[in-house]
Amino acid sequence: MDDSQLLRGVLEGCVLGIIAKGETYGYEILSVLEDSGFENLLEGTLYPVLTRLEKKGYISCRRAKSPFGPIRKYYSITESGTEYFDEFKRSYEKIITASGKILDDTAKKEENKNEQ
Amino acid sequence: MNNSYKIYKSKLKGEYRDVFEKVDIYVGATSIDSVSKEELLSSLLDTFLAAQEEGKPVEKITGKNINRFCSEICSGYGFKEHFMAFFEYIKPMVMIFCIWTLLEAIFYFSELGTIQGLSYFDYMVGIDTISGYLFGLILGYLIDFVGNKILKHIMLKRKSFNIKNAVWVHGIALVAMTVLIFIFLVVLTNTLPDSGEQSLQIPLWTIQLIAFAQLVLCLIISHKIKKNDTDTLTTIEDVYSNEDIINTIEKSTMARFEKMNQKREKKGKPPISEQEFLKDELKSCKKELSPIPYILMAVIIPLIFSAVKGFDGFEGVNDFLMFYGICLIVGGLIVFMIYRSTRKIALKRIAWIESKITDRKE
Repeated sequence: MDDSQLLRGVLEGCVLGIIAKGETYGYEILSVLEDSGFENLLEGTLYPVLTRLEKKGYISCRRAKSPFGPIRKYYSITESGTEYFDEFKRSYEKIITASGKILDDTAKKEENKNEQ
Repeated sequence: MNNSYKIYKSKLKGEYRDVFEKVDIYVGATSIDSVSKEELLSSLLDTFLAAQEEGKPVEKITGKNINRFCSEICSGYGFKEHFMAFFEYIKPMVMIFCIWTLLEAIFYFSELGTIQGLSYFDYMVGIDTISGYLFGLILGYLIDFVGNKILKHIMLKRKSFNIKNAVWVHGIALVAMTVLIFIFLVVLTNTLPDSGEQSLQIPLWTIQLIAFAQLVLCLIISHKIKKNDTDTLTTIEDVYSNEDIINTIEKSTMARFEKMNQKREKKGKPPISEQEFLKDELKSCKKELSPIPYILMAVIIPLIFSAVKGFDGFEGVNDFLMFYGICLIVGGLIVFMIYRSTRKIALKRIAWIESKITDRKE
């Protein structure tokens, strides 16, 4: 199954969640997402998300020289970003609860069928 | 633009270098402004270097399809970036256009003496003058910019398309558009009904207003680029670490040192040491930083123009002051641009020479 549609829905929130923990940069965000289980997530998918969040004013960035030399953008969450993230968490929990009920019921019915 | 990321490209190795080159060409061919391109490529280069350090394959960052990766990283940029890119694109034309409209104003003042009662707002410029052509060229650039964007969008979507060809396509499209606009304007001037002395005419003040409105937009964008340069300023150490720039400065300076000693030898004079030569070079480089000669040039040359025109040709003091003022602005802009590029080069040479003198002191 292609996970990209599901991913698109939660990626902005997850990226915001990572940035909310403290100032960070693109590669670090990618590494955290990978370690959390977002397999095969590419930098190409992350960049537009960061650009969108910046344009909406949910994150701010400062530029500084990285240890490797090029200029690196460090992202931090803004006030409006924090509000948006809180809203996202509430909506996400609602969806998880509601979809969990349906999916659990479906799973139980499947189990019962198999037992019979 | 300092193009700071280009200084560090040489740190990439193997597949990372190859892939980054492809991405660099792709992003360079897109119609987004230079500030956004610089930020994007710098950030991406940093990511590549970090991943290279950890020994990850480049596919972990980009996936297998480079074109798709490039398309995704550029997809976050919208109308604002394309709008800024357009004004960056036409900035040289706008500068020439503004200078030419100022010169047209000088021609107006030169006709004041001969045509009585000629108001500034009645002064018309024919479409077949340089102003008209330049105005048409800017329109042509707009059409070219949009057409090029559509063309690249179609071509870059194709898997087998060689991205480097996008640069050639753009060049050919630009030349073709320029020729078409020229032909269009020539046909227009010859086919429009003749309304008295000249065909289609535009008031000078209209053209100047359009030119200066474009100039203001270009200056706002330049300010943003300059601010980005200040934020991401490459230090002299970074410049110093760029081997190409250092090699060029070293070669040219040492070649001058050798030539000087050869001349001294021919004249029977003893050769000077490298240390003495470098100290003299440092003095002359520091003199190049002084803006005074340029200020004097900007002030005196318009006076020469006024003298050539003949002070008797002015209606009064105000007329002369207006003419002098316009020449001062035009001349000042040109002199300022020359001063800026001379100063940049002088600073780089000073940094290199000072490092060599310091080494010798040690």
